[in-house]
Amino acid sequence: MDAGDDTIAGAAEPEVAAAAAPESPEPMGVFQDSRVGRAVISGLMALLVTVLVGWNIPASGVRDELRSDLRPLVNTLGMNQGWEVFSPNPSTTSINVVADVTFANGDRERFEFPGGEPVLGALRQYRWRKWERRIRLEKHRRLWRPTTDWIAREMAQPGNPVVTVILVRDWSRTPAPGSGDDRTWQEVEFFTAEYEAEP
Amino acid sequence: MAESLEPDTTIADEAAPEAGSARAGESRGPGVARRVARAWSRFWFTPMESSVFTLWRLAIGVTSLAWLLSIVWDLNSFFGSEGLRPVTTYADNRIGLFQWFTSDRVLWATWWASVAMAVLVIAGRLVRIAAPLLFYGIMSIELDNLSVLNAGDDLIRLWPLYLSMFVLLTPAALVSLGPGGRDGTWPLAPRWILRLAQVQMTVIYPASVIAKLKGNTWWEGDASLYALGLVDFQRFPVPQFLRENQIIGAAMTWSTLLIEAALPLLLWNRRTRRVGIVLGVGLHLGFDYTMRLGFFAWGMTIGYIAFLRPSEAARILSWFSALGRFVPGRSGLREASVAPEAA
Repeated sequence: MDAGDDTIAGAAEPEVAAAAAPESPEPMGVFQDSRVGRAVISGLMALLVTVLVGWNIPASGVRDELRSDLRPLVNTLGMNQGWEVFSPNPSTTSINVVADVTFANGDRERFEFPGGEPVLGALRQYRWRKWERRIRLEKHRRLWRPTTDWIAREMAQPGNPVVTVILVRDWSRTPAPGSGDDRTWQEVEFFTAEYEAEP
Repeated sequence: MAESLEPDTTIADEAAPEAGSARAGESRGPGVARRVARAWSRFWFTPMESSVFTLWRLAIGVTSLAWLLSIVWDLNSFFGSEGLRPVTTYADNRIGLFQWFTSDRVLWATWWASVAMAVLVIAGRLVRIAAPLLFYGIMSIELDNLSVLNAGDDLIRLWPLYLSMFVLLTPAALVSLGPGGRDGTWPLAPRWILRLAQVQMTVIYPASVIAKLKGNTWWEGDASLYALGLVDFQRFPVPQFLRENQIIGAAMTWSTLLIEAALPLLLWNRRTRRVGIVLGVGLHLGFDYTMRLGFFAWGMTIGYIAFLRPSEAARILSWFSALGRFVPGRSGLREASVAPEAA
């Protein structure tokens, strides 16, 4: 098996497109043409392939051990990766996190995280959706206070600071296919932060 | 067609001894170790025309630039000192810039520098400096708030990493070519980084399929309907019957699994390579149309470039080169192929 081209019988016969073949082959670089250079690159490739395969084998005790060994290198190079998308099952929960904000003068306003139109806006909005999906969970409660702090700063008006921010989870379960059930949305307040109105 | 003139070597050909390598004693046939070493050398070091690498580099530069521009409105919110994560805890061995420099000025300087580096990578100028700095800038930004990233962002970081490794070990003249090549020709370049990109793509799909097979909705054929039912993911309009029809849903679910499982085999077989590219890119475009997945399709498409033949990449680049001729004041992007770094 080969990829991307037809592997040829050796470096002496480089792969070329006949329509634009170079007049004469030239060295690809002193380093890569040398025995030492090829040994170094071979070592690097062997290491990186080991990392890629070891990091991405199916979840198991073996993978946990491998990842433990590989993590220092992976963390340093930024090679962390995970491809278990929409697995083992896609989520059945649609989420929209909003915040009910109360100002010092008693006014109330609903805050929504930035959205985005589907063409270019979607290339920005997916990060906000990711954040919303994360903070809705109890296990990420450490993110709740920084989120309300940020909302309080964003919403503050001159002379009229925010005194309360309530995070609200607006969610619905996708009806089972074929059930004929209607989608229903529910709102649940899951965190309240209070702020002192500065004189 | 030029393509038909390309070397067309069969598996049997690969087993044949290399031309010009016959030495005394080799008539008995190479030993296993020697054959493995030769196969290794062929796999990683057989040179190929630099058009594929050039297209791959340009795609990484453009995608990185688009990614950086997409994040500019939210840079302070996600990563700033008064943002959503004013204090970030870094795992051991991380080397993100903002774990040491927390000022918003450094954040913005990094963003601007990364934008400049992406432009240089696209232009083929100072690539050996620009690519590593681009990688480090993107990685530093991403590491400062992992909570807003998805798998596409992983690719946005990984491709510049691989690009950096290559350009640091390869002559500048080979990594700085424009879409016109060198006066219309493509000098030979090493292929090992494209091989690594191919390996990266190859590990993605088995990991994805095996994880999915642990879920009952994938077996039952409902997974795609559940995915399409996620309101906060929805992007462009999808007809109601596609969202609700169980037969269509099962077809979409199982065909997704089947294609993802088959892609590594299709891509590594020269007879089915092109089918694999079309199916794979089509699959990701379909995901991208229906769901808000950020730069996932962009990142995956960059990976598919590594599976192109030089003639195919050259053809795609010639389209861009032709487009450049319509830019006022320019006679084509070919001029950019002779970068100062190369000269």
